[in-house]
Amino acid sequence: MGGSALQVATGVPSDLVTALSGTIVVLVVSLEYLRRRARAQSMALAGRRASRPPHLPRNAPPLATGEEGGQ
Amino acid sequence: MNQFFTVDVLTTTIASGIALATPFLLAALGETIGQRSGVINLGVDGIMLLGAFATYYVELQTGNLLLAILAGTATGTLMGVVTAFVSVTLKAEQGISGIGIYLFGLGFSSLLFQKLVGTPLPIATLPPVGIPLLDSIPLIGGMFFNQSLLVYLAFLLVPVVAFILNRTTYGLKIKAVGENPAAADSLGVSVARIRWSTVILGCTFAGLAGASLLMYGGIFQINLTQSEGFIAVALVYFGAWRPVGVMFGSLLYGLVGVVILTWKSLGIIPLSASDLAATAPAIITVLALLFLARRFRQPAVLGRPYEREG
Repeated sequence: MGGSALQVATGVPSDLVTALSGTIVVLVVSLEYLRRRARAQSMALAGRRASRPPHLPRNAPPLATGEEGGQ
Repeated sequence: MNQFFTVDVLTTTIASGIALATPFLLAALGETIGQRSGVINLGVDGIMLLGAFATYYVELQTGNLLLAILAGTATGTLMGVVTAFVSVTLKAEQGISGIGIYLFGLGFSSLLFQKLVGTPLPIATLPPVGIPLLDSIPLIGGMFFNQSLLVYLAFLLVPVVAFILNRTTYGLKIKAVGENPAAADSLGVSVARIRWSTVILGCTFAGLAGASLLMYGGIFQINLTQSEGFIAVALVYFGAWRPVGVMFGSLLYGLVGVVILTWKSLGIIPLSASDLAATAPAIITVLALLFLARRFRQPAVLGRPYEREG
């Protein structure tokens, strides 16, 4: 209905509107995963920053956990 | 009613029913492969439309039927790449992305048709090819062994797909990925690769289904499929994700559709009830789904994208 009204008012074919609607639906659901992934990555990064003691400089190597201590 | 039960009418009806079942069978077989690997593709109808249009346009331009059918099939493959990228790589919600692909196919095929063709013109269709000796069998010969090559191909694909799914390593991987992708992954099976391949294969079948639908009517029109792709998805459930079951479902749907058409043309169904009668195949499919499909279990992770833990 909206597509037909657009076709009458502006001369845009309603089929083009349908095709674009489909493309938008696909893009929206596809971008959801990318957004979720970016959020997870930023949360992981924030978690790593939070676990670093504040007195260490930014480019300091990660702290030894003791598990990898050599014999 | 007596005029329906004559040898000529019955033979023609059954032969047409088999031909009409072909697009459903092809699309549903492709969807079966995809669903066995855990990917549900609701965009089948849109892909069928694009495949049908590509076939129609190439046939109009070149007059080469084989090239036209290949173009329709290749369009399905191309859409398969898009579908696989969205459903498998981007892990999009499969139901909604399928609807998006359907809308794209519906709109884009109509748009291309209006811009590139405009007035619908009939095209040449595949002629029926009789199988030597078999086509001369009384009654049965005319019904089963005097069909077009696409019909034979579709029915030949049933045992081929069944064999691939049940008797090959690739088929076992498909089923493993559809039942327990984490276990398959831990055994070194690439879930993404298997799903990409099944989705592309399924969409290729959908493109071919569009081509065969066009060959049945011989002319393209806007929304040619009339949502037959969704029926094909339902037929996968009807057939319990088994190629032979899918074949029987397609035959039932095709035959009921042709019987209704024949009854309408013979005046058995009054004109006032013809629209209601046209819904009969869909109603029968839904009823059959209600009673039959419950007995079978769908692939365990159907419709769920796979994300490796850790």
